[in-house]
Amino acid sequence: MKVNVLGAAVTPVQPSLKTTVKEMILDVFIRAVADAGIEPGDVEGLFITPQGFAGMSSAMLACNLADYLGLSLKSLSMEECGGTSSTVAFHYAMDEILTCRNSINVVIGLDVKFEPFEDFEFGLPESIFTQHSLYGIHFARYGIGTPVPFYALSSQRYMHEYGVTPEDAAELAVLLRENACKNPNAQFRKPITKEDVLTSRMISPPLRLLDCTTFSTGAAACVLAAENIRGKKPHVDIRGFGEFHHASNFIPPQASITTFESVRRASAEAYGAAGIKPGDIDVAEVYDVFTYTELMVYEDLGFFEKGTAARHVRDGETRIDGRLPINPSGGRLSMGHPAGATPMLEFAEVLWQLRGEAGDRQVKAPGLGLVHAEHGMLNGGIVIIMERH
Amino acid sequence: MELQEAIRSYTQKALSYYGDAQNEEFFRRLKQKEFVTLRCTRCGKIMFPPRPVCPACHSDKLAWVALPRTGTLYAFTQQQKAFRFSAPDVIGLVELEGVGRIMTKINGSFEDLRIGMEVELEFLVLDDGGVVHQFRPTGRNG
Ligand SMILES: [Zn+2]
Repeated sequence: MKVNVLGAAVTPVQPSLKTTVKEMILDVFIRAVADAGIEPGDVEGLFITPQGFAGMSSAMLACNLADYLGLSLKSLSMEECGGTSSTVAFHYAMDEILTCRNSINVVIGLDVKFEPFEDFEFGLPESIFTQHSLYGIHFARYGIGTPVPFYALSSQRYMHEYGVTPEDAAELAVLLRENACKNPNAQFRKPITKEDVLTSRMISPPLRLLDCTTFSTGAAACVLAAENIRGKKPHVDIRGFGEFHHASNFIPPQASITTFESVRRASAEAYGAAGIKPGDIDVAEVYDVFTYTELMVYEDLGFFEKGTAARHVRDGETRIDGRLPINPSGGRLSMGHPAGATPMLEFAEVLWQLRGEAGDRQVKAPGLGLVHAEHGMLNGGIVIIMERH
Repeated sequence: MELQEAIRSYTQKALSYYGDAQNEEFFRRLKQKEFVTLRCTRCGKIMFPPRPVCPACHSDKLAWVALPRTGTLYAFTQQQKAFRFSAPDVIGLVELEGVGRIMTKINGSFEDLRIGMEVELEFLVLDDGGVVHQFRPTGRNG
């Protein structure tokens, strides 16, 4: 039994809400269904994320959608697990097909950027202090109002342990921006230089502004189906899936903060299910929010030896025309980061790459694609492997 | 609403939803200049921050124990903008023997800090009467 991927749709990633949340959901739903070559009424299950990773949310959004979208459904739900939320929704949608309960399911990830209380990068005082799930009440007492310091501590250790430099991080930021310049859906499309990155405003050393992404607004949908159902587009299916949640929140007292167990375990499970090795992957979209962290994730996915990702990036191996293109979309750093939607944006990018529909940023004839999502500071993660037949 | 007032009110709201008695007790004892956490009496695990159940064996038979007052600086950064303390606000991970790494405020200038330095505990009294822990270099090594 396999699960087919029939279609996907995304909104452009934007700094603020341009339509209403429901209009955004309707938009990606209608276009994803059209891309899949099916009718809206063929959909049996709808799985969504909360509407705001860090802002206003509702426990009665999913249940309103059957009416709004004019659908009678066998499954309808909202899933929440931080940055992995949409892949958890995806997991549920996939299982409903694998257990033969549903034949066609739609997954929608969405996010509305929280409007800052003050002029404050990642500025989320109310949500930080009222949502324990974001950074934890114990940290809030110490004035930690954003995730940036956690990643800064991890990045400093990465530099200390492996000799990675700010120039290495800048090299990656520039490459991702080059990719985003070829992506009409990316939020940041003004070319940057290494000098720009290295002289951008310091946020939390070693992290400068251009080492970080920002919260954004956007939505993305994908259509999954049973193996006997095909769309009109090239045939792509799910080859492997892995998920792991480590017993920690941001900073584990004992586990490493430069090697992430969740990435290693989730990817090992997915590679095992697919019967492949990391080196077999032809294109990958990874979830990272900071330059140094992205390099660590490349390593923990098994693409490169620990501590060597920067060298491989410098050698051009992860470029669109390189040996293993990673984040051809521009990644979180330059595509922008509507956290609830991010993994589905990645999924759509990999689907288009596998079908040969990625335009100016098309990777040459990829067969196997990987999508990675995470929550916390890589405390949990999900890896999906797709194959073009 | 003033930012500081808002932060206090949001923190209180968050604690009433997501806090626990152990966290409350930790900060109550900090006010009395005690730096303590919980140790599992079944398996011996020392947990930080304190919590109702041992994360290693899930026993609820826990006892308060003193934490070491000196440790080693494992990593450090600073928030260039800080909304609770004056900026730049130095934050670090301090390795405490037998416990692991804890997140803490650091009393020291970012430029003078080095990974591996010996640091010692201080209590920082806030203007609302609350107390948080911070560490400063002892100057003995690093
Ligand atoms: Zn125990």
